Amino acid sequence: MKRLAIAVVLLVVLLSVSGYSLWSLRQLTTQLTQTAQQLRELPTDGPLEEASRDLVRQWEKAEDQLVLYVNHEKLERISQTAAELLALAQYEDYSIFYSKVDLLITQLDGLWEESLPNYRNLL
Amino acid sequence: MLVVFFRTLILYCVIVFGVRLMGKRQLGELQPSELVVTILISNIATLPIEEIDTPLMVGLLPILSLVVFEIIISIINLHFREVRRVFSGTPVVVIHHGVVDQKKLRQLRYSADDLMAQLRSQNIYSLSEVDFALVETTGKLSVYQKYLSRPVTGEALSLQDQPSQNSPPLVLVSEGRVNEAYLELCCKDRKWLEQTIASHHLTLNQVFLLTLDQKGTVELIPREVKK
Repeated sequence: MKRLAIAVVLLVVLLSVSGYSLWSLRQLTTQLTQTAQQLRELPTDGPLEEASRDLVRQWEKAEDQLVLYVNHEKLERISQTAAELLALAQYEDYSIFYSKVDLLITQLDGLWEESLPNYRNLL
Repeated sequence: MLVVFFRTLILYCVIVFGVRLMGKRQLGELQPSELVVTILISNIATLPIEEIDTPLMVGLLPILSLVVFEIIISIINLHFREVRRVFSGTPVVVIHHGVVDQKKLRQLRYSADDLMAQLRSQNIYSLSEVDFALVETTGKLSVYQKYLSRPVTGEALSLQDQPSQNSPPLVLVSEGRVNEAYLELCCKDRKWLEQTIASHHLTLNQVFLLTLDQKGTVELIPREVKK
């Protein structure tokens, strides 16, 4: 019975940790996607560089948490995209800048989609 | 490299904890579900060790989940025979009254060579010695020999029972450490132990092994002196 009790407690802990990681991922990707969309809507003469820097900072903070349960390769790809955004804003390469913002939003959506326990991911 | 070292250490501790939690059955003969869990755990454990890009959680979560599933399944198996039949199968009789059931052997994909090999591993070299044999759910062959082929027992020779010979000697001291539980089992105390060791002109730390049987015979092996 002791073993069963430990197993049940462990099961609850595992499910809680899994659930929390999913919830946390949702929160972080939603926030980052909103920030990226706000950046997308800024005009070319707007504070693109400042906004990009904020986005990168926000991403770095989120990454510290995401490394615990997301494959690092996926996170590195997003880090790369975010870093490119800053450089593109600085050098005023706006067409590529906006396409990179779209890419970032797609990558963040992808991160969330791949974590869902739906039939596509399970199979 | 230090990352790999610490990950290996963490996974090692978790796996040992998991195996201990699953119990002694896991270390003995394995049922099919137990074998599956053992293989899966060993394969999963290598992933976060080999690939540093993979979060440690990706290894720990499935390992602990498998441990939990195995415990729950084993408890369900204990209470429900039908479930046990699904997960572990049932033992199959392959020799009955000395006659080999070839159909059952074919169903088990057990060849004649496999059968003889299993018998030989139990020091049985002729089928004529076997009255009854069954293949357990672990794949092991359990054999009941014919009366005249069985090792001679005291009962067969009509010897008188000797209760003092029924229990094995117990280890009271092992490498200088006293086993309190066995000492209590033998109804002896520390004072008796110290006196016994002193009578051999030794101290507790100088004892490698000390056993006591039901007749009261003490067997003491002193520690070798390091040169």
